[in-house]
Amino acid sequence: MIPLMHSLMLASALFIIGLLGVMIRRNLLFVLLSIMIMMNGAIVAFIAADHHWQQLDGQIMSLLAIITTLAQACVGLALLLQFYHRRKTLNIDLLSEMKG
Amino acid sequence: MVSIFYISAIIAILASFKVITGTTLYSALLYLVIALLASASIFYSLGAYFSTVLEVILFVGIATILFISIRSYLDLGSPKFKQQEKGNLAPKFWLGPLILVFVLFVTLLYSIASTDYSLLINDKSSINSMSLEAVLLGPYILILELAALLILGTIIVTYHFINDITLTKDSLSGKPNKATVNKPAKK
Repeated sequence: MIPLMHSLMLASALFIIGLLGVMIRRNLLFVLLSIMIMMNGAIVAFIAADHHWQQLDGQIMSLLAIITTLAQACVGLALLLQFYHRRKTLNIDLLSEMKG
Repeated sequence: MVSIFYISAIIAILASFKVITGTTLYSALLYLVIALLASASIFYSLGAYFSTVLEVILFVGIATILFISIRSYLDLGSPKFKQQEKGNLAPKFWLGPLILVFVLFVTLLYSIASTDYSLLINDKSSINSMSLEAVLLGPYILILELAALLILGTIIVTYHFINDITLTKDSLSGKPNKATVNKPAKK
């Protein structure tokens, strides 16, 4: 039996690594990869809770989270293709036209 | 089971860190595959077998192939592409992923070897009364329908986003059309 604390520490470590990747990388492809790592950490937290309480809800929520991650990867890659088609670059800092 | 969890956790964190610090997309994708496989074995050690299968099929099987195909679509026209492929065969490119994946392989072999197969023959407890399928097709059927609708919406949105690109650009040859090569992209 693995304690819940260790699983949650692993999940938050994965989430923080993904968040760091989103913040430090300016390449849109790497930002999408980092978002996938973040979602992976969230899914680990779901499975850990599922294991700790011996319920099946965590696995069902992880199914939904996996499909959501796939959906956002698809839409993000389609946006990336549009972006590359118009600007010929992948740097997302060039998107801030409003200087907000 | 406990040792599988901790070894896989270390591999997942190391590989995730290498993903966000990677310089080329291909090495980052290799490490991402390793991180996802390591988290799949974490799910296995936590007893969530269905999620393990989903993680391997959907994440490793679909998402990374999607990234690779998009990247090669972007690279197809450039002459650097073939040189880059040669560089990908250098040992410094595959040595790190190889070590991590070898550790995962050893834990997989250990988990196969440590299974007590005599229990599996007459085991009725693995099919417990509240199995996942019964719950998923019973009270949680709305979750399944929500996921299906999400995929449908994704297909429609993606089609509308890349529709005009595939119409104006010859995607297979990688060369832009004469109509689009002279005028810069709008906006």
